[in-house]
Amino acid sequence: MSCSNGINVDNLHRLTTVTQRLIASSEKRSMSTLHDHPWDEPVTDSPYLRKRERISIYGTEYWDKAREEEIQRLSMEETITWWSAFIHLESLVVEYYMRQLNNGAFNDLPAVIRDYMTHFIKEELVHTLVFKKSIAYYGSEIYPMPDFLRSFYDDNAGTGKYPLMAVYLTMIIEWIADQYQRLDVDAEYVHPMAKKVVHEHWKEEMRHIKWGQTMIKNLIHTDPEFKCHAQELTPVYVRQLIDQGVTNIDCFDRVGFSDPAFKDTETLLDTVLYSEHRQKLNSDLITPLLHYFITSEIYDESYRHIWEMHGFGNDLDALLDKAS
Amino acid sequence: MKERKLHSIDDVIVSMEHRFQADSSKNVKAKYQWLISGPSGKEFCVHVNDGTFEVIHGRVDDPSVTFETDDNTYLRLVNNEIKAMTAILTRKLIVRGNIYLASKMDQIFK
Repeated sequence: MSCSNGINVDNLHRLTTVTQRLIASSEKRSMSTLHDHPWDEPVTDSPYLRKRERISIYGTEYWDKAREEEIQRLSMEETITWWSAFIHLESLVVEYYMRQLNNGAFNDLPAVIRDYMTHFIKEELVHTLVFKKSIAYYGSEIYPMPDFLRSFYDDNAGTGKYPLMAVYLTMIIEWIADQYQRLDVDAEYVHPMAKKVVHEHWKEEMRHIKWGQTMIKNLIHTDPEFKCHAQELTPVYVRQLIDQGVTNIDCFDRVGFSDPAFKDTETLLDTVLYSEHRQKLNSDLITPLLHYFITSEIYDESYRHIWEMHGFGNDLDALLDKAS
Repeated sequence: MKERKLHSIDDVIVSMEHRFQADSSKNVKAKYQWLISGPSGKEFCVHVNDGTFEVIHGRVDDPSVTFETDDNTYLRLVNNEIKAMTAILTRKLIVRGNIYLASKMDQIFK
């Protein structure tokens, strides 16, 4: 049975229920720019902001060419580059969704969806402020905006009634980014402020990701063109995000490695992106996403060749075997 | 059979005729703008239109996807001497625009 807006009543009910639950949780647990981080704690000497095994050059010959203090600094810069990317992305998210709300893009959905959007926008805004404070806390500077983000929302809004493609692409970026960060700080010696920044962000993003997942799962059938495009582009997009998340060549400039091998950035990147160690890290990161793609019908057997072409064949097989 | 190495941007444009996959471009309507800098650089747009394509010299209005690179990197990309991701991460290639349409490019020209 469908409503006047073409959405199945059960799907609409599910979307409403999940959204109400997420708003309640947001009202209770929303992050503060002042109170949820140990801002007054001094920075210890040479803090590690990323687990050693997750630093880009780990498991390659570059690890042995780097001095200990260079590795520590790289752990910092590779975390700061992620926080910078969050600041740029989440600023755009705020601008885009405010515009969508003002233009009535969600007006024919239940009012609770619009209520959720205002919570979501406020939280994204707080995130950008916290990330800026965190970068300053470590005495570093924000990295420039990645080029592909500049017109991201103008170019990728969607094809149907709702901006599903924008919701979907944002959800995937945030999910991959948070997966990276959560795994990056998973070691006792990682500096407590870095851990706190990541964990607080992760707690809120889990709600945003859950909402994005629910929105897509329940509205995917209202826009067949979106579904088809999402099925086709997802493996390409996910591959790009995973690879682009490994490092940023500006980090190597900031560290200023003494070994000349680091000057050849092409060879360096080819080595870190395709190392055996990196493939294992990528598998850990992608598994929960693949599970979602399968259950939400984003993964479709007819596009299997594209997934394989982008290196996800084995990870998919492991999940599909388990499911059967 | 090993593909012949392409030595100039004009060679690449000529080769598009036999590399074009009409089936893969069915239902695709997109303007792929290339901005190639350097001594032998060129600006052109590949306009794909539901199973056909044409090359338009210069810049077009409202491209769906824009690729910016230099002449040397462009030829290395076409000849598979550098991976696209490595070129992107080393800022030798910038890709802007519609992600879905950008993702189709590899299937449209083999």
